[in-house]
Amino acid sequence: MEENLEKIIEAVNVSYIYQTKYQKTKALSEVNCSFERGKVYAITGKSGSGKSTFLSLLAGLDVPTEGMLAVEGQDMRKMNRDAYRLNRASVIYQAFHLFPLLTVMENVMFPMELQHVAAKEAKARAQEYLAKVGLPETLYKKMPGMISGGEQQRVAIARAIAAGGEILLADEPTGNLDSQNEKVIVDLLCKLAHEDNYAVIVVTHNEAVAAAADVVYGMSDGVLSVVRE
Amino acid sequence: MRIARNTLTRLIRTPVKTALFLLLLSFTAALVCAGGSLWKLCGDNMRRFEEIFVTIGTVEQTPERTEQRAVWYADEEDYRYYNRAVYGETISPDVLDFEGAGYLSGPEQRAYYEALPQDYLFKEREGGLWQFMVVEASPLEDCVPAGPVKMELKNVLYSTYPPNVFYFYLCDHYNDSPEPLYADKTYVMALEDGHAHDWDENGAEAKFEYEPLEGPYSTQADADGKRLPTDLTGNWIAEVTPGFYETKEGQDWLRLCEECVLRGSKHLSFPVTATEDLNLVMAFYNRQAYLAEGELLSEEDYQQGNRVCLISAAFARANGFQVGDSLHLALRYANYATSANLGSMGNWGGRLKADGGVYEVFEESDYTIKGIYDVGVSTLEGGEGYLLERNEVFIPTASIKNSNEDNIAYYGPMKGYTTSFRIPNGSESIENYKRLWEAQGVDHVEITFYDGGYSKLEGGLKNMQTMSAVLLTAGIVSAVCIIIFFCHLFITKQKKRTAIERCLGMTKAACASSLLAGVFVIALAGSMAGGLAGQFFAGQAAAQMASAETFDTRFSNGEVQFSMEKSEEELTDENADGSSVAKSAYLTETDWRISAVCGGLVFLFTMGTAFVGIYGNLREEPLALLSDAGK
Repeated sequence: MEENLEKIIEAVNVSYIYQTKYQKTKALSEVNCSFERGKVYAITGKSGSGKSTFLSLLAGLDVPTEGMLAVEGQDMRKMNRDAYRLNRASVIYQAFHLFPLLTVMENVMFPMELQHVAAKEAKARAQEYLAKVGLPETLYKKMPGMISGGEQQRVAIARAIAAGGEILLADEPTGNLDSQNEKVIVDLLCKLAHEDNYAVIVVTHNEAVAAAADVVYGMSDGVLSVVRE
Repeated sequence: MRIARNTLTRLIRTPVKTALFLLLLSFTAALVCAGGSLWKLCGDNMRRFEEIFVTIGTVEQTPERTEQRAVWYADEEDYRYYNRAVYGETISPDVLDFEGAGYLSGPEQRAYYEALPQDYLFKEREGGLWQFMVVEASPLEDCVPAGPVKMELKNVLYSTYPPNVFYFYLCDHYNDSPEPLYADKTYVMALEDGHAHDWDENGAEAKFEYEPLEGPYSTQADADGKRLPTDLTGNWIAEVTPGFYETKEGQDWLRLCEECVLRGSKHLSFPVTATEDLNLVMAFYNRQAYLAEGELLSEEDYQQGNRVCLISAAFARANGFQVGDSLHLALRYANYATSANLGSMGNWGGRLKADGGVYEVFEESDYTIKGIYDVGVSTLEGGEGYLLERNEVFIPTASIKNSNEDNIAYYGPMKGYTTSFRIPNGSESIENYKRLWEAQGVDHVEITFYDGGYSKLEGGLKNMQTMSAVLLTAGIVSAVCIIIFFCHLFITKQKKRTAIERCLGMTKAACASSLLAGVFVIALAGSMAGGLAGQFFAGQAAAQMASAETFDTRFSNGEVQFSMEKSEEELTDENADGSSVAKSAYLTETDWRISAVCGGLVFLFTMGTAFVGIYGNLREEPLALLSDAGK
């Protein structure tokens, strides 16, 4: 494998098989691709095509059945994947998935608490990130259920970047948003990639999101192909 | 710490759910603890009552019929009529030995043994010693002693105390056709005082009237209780002819006197009762007799046949005996027909052996005084046979090593005061015994059971135990349901939270801790509060039970053992009707350890259920779960 420091993640012949008691399903089939810092990647495809499975592997929630997924050249199988998610890769979701019983501020502080960042510093950084995603200060002490979907997704992004990682994984991040909020979020993701050098990988059906991406992959029956580069 | 703080923050922000879980968990834990404590307490009480209560059965051979007996009364010159029980063949206590009887003690047909009085001092019957004497006397003139006839006292062969008279009056009181007496003849006769015609007109002389008693006779029986044949006639009077005392009859009269000298008096007795269990003696069973000093005879004493004894306080006082002193017992003969009290009253047969000999000592040993008993208020319930003789000594049956088969002076049908056995407590045990006994088909034997109210008490305790079981079961079932339900709410329904935390980089252990922290706090608080509440309610219920289930000591013979270490004042409250109520028999102190264990189990079950839920949560694929949740 050729060493390339710009490539933060590289998939080499990655396959993944779901095995239940009665059957085996090949969700990914020999996927080869790489992701670089500073770029927005979109992975498109139909439901059940294997997008979310691939995202799950990229998030380190599981490991490939075959092949290798490397983070900066290191096989993910040999990594502490909890630490990887905590420090390097974050995921945002279509349904935002904020903690409903924690305030906006507490949600953003949560990953920093896991990193044992001092409370005072965590609070300051949370304010910074919330400001960065453009959330008004008046909402910091609100519970997630009390703010709009677009605001919740911005909180989710703030929480994702609060850990200080460099990989941002997004699963249909605009799926529950109106077009105005959709644009705000897409711009925010692009800004994080282009200005803050994040590798942003978005799984989406949304053509507008795909259009904003630097690289577009298509996924069909577990097979990844380049749509636009 | 921060994880725990976040968890607690979440609990506080769902106050209704948290409070409801805490409340319901406390309630169910209280039910479990109360049920468990009461169950244990009932069990302890049953075991305690099992130990302190005693169930005995007394056995009595019933007469086959009664017959009317005419008794002549010389002073009334008429007959009085009495009904007399007529027994069939004496039934052996062996009929009580049947399979399944389950005796704890006995059955025994107790003998009391007449011991040589040695130099001991005895408490005499109230009213003093009756006079009994064997004398030679002649009538002043030929006469028939159908009424008082004046006699000249010629020689005193034996007398309880000196008669100090030259003349006395004699009346063959109960004989409607007495033999004539001749002035020129001398007669040997057995006499006692105590009966008087209406002799006001004769003044002070009237008190010297004597009536005849049986002369030498024997009721000796063999080992099977069969009366031995004898030529002793029992005639109260015999003519003293020259050389009379060289004849068999004369020798018998002399041995009768010898026997009286050995014994000290006809009416003085030094009875020693041998038993396998003092509880079988009704006076001890019903608490008329109680331990005043020292200890009762122990199970080991009965089993090993230790030479230890229990003496009466009256006898101890008269002789200055203390617990630990030695008492020399020389046993001469056994009486299986009556109790020592009846025996001491002279209500039994002859005192000579069938061959006219005097009973020799067959067992002689030093006994250590282990305890001194006293006798409270005596009642004649059941008759005088049930009372204790004033000087009665109790020893373990097995301490008599030599056979008494040649020294059985009297044997008779089983009586309630001589024959008894002990069986396990409880109505079930009694019913079982009755059923088996009826199957034996033995007629003319009546068994009466005494359980001191145990059956009633046992019933109450069993009801209470059933209630506590219901409480415990209800507590366990509701605890399981509530814990599963709330663990579902707090754990299983938090799958998404776990998934988010996992996606944020939280380790599985940290995720588990995060969820467990909340459940831990509620489970700990709920179990502790429930445990304390359960302990309190169990204590209240136990106190209620004790006040509702007191029992009257007149019927609570089981208090016998209980009174060994405590005074009667400590044990009872006096009722207006003179009966008393046991107040310290019940255990009402609930065991805090039971509540701790029950509360601990509730806590552990909660944590266990939470673990299972968390394990399920962690098995879910986080991203799939979160992706599905959003779609």
